Amino acid sequence: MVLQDEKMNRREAIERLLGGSVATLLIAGGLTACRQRKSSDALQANPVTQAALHIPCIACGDCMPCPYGVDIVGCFDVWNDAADNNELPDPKKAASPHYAALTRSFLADYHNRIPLLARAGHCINCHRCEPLCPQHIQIPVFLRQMEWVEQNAENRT
Amino acid sequence: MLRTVRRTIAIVLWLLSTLSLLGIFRVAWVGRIQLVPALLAINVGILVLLAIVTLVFGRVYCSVICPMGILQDLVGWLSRRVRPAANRYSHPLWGHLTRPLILIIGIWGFVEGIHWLPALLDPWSEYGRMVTQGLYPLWLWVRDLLSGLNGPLGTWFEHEDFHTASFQASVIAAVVALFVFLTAWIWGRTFCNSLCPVGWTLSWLSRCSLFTISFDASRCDYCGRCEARCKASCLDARKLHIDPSRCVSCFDCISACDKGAIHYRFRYTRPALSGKGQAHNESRRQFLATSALFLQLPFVSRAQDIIEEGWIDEGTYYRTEQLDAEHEKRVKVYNRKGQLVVERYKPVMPPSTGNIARYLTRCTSCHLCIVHCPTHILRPSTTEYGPEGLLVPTVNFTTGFCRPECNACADVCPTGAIQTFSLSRKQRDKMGVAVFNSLTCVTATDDVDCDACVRHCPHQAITMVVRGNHKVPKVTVNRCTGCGACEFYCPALPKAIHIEGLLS
Repeated sequence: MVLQDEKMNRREAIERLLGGSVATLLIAGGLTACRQRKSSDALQANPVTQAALHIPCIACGDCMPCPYGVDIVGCFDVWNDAADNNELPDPKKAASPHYAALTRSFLADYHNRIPLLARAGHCINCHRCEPLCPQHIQIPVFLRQMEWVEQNAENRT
Repeated sequence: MLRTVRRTIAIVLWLLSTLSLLGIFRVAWVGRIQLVPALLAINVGILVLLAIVTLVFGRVYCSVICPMGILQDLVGWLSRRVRPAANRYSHPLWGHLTRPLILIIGIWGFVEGIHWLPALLDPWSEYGRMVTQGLYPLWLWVRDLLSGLNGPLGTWFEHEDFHTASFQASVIAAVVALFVFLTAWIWGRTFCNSLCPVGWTLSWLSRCSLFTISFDASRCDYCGRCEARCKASCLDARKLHIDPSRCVSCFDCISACDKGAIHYRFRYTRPALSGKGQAHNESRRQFLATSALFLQLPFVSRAQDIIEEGWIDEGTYYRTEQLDAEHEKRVKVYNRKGQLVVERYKPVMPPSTGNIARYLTRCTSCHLCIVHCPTHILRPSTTEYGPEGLLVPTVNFTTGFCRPECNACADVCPTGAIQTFSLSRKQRDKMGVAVFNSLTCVTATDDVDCDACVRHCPHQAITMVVRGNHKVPKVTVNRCTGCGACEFYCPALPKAIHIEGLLS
């Protein structure tokens, strides 16, 4: 489908993967809201390679320090490591047998590398980091996406 | 044979209880089959089962089920390996006096609401605190090491930023551990013989047990091996007499005797002496009276609703001056840098605990819930509940929040202090209520937009209202369960939104 088209940009890939607009989905926010959403059949029929989710962070550290203590570079690093190896626990595929193993390895990696109070959930969406990024990454959006995956993973463990 | 069976079951149960107290396995029934937790939970099935086991086999509870008893046996066994010369235990006469005294003190503390007194005397919670305060930090350290491993093994372990030990609890547990280890090393089961009220209570039942250890005087040559091996120091080899208040039916004496003079036999094969039958009845009556005292106490009371109290109205802002005049700030939480994180007027209790009196009465502070909480928000209290509630678990949202899909604490709680609840009840039962303080909110101090609390509220209890240039949260008290997600994710220091407990 659309996702197999290599020309699609990253934002579209994420929106497709999350089954809707990233902004609306994440602002709707809470755990319950996320859990109630149904998985898209199209996604399960056509497995996506998660390399499309790679965040183009070059770890320059210009965005840091975050005034609210989020380790932005570290979080993106964890995310990219998982995405490059196709090991992100996609909440949409929670029914699949691989999900539990992916969840465990992703959470262990994330929790071991990033201190508790520097994880993506502590982003308050103040957008102070965005103008500093030479790669023009929408940092809060990606942090929320990461938190969404993490919260879904923790819900099931 | 009997001894091997006893030792196997004991080791299995001891390992299960220790591992579940370390948070490695979640085996809830190991705690539930202990006597004091079963009494507090009014778990009739377990109580009847324990009574039947004791009435049939004697006081096997203390050598098979109770982890404290097994620990003393293990220490004694080690000590005999190391110094076999001193292999005979003696029992001081005062030991007969101390146990009833301690039982009375425990019941008095229970009735008077001095919570830590019965908690200090219950062997299961003693053992629980020893493990959770002593061994658990060690296990966390090992886990940290293991989490550094690459490959699949490393994914099973996670680095923990916080440890669950507290100073007061550690000191108390260390003193008890030192006492138990030392006395067990030198005198065998001293805690069990001279202090433990549970064993003493059970010994009244075991006096009339169906099976008992008996001597065959015709075969005995009074060599004294059985007395030397008796770990409860209850056996007098000269008089061929066993003190029923201390014997735990460990069968050590049977395996020690090479003449076959000691048997584990049906007690009532021959008609009992005329005087003894009445004594049994009296002791049974005495026991029933004691247990009735436990059962009659008013356990059950209703949870009280904070809204009735009138100091937090729905949707209104929190007036600190008014609260300052009426209450004192009992709970203060500091982070590692020593900065004040949260001040609470009332401590937060774990979910589904009812009111404070009920919670403190039921909880024996075995700290099983503390270990099993996946977000490590439960901690032993210090001054939060006042002096009588020392060591009872309280909630701090410094390491996470009470996850809406989790009921681990209620699942493991052996005493029923945290009542079992379904996950659907978790969505509406209150453990506190969120309170907003606009003075420290980042919208005021940093002049930025922030929606951390709204975004993370699992129950959509927070809405945003415009105040000045920014939007600030407004709590819908009816929806808020006090899970603490808003407090945990609040970026302000001290927290601009925090949870107030429900006690009254």
